[in-house]
Amino acid sequence: MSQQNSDGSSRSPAAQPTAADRTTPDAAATDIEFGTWRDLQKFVLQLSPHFEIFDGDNVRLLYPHKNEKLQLFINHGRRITETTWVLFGIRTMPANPMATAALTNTLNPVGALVLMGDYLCVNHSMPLRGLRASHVHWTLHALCETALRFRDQLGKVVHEQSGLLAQYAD
Amino acid sequence: MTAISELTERVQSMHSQVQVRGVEVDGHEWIALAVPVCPRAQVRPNAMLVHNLTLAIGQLAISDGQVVLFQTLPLPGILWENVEETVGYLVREAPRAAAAISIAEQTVAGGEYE
Repeated sequence: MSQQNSDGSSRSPAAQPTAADRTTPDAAATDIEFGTWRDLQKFVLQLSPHFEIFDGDNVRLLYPHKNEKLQLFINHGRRITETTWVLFGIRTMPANPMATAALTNTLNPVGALVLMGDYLCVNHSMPLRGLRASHVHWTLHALCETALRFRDQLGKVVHEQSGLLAQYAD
Repeated sequence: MTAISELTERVQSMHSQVQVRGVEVDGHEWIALAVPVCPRAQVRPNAMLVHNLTLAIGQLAISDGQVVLFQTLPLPGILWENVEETVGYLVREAPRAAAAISIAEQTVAGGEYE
């Protein structure tokens, strides 16, 4: 059965994975795979009692991680060709242009710095096709760790700069 | 042949400039797909942060003095269709990213607005 794109065009169903494409068939058999955004949304909303949904495609919640509650946002709808992608992101701290220059010399596998409005966030996109609960857990954990690491590093840089600038205050 | 080497062979048979490597994150295996964009010296880091917001997927980052456009995917259960789509996007997007982050620097550096 064909599916409708938002512009009215139709697309063929996403290709089904073959056994040859799966690297760990045993793990795949026991892991939940989300067929739709609605399934993923239901799963994500169980992660925290503090959440908001807006426009149907955006979820924001306070995600518990290491005795902190981090501001997690999840956006559905980015599309390249056939499949939609889901963006996971964590708001890290207010943007500081001088400090962020110190952090961009790092290729972080999961969680890259993005300037969103007045805030620095760490984001990662995942395809909804074939997305599993384990993938979501790994992504969220990695994003949280990256966010906390960037926050600590940025905090140190800002502190050092404040100290340097203070010499010229008088 | 490992899963990563198989994927590397398939990806690079399509686009030889795509770098493929396995990475471990918190004990789990991921695969990183990256396309070179431009030398680091040609851009301002903040231009990369701003441009990251315009990307549908993937992110700009600096690796070994080079700006790259990359996307990582979990290796267990990886679908070739997702790899193919990702690689296609990165390859198409890299030249646009290079132009955008270099232009951002030039725009800020000077010139008058009409």
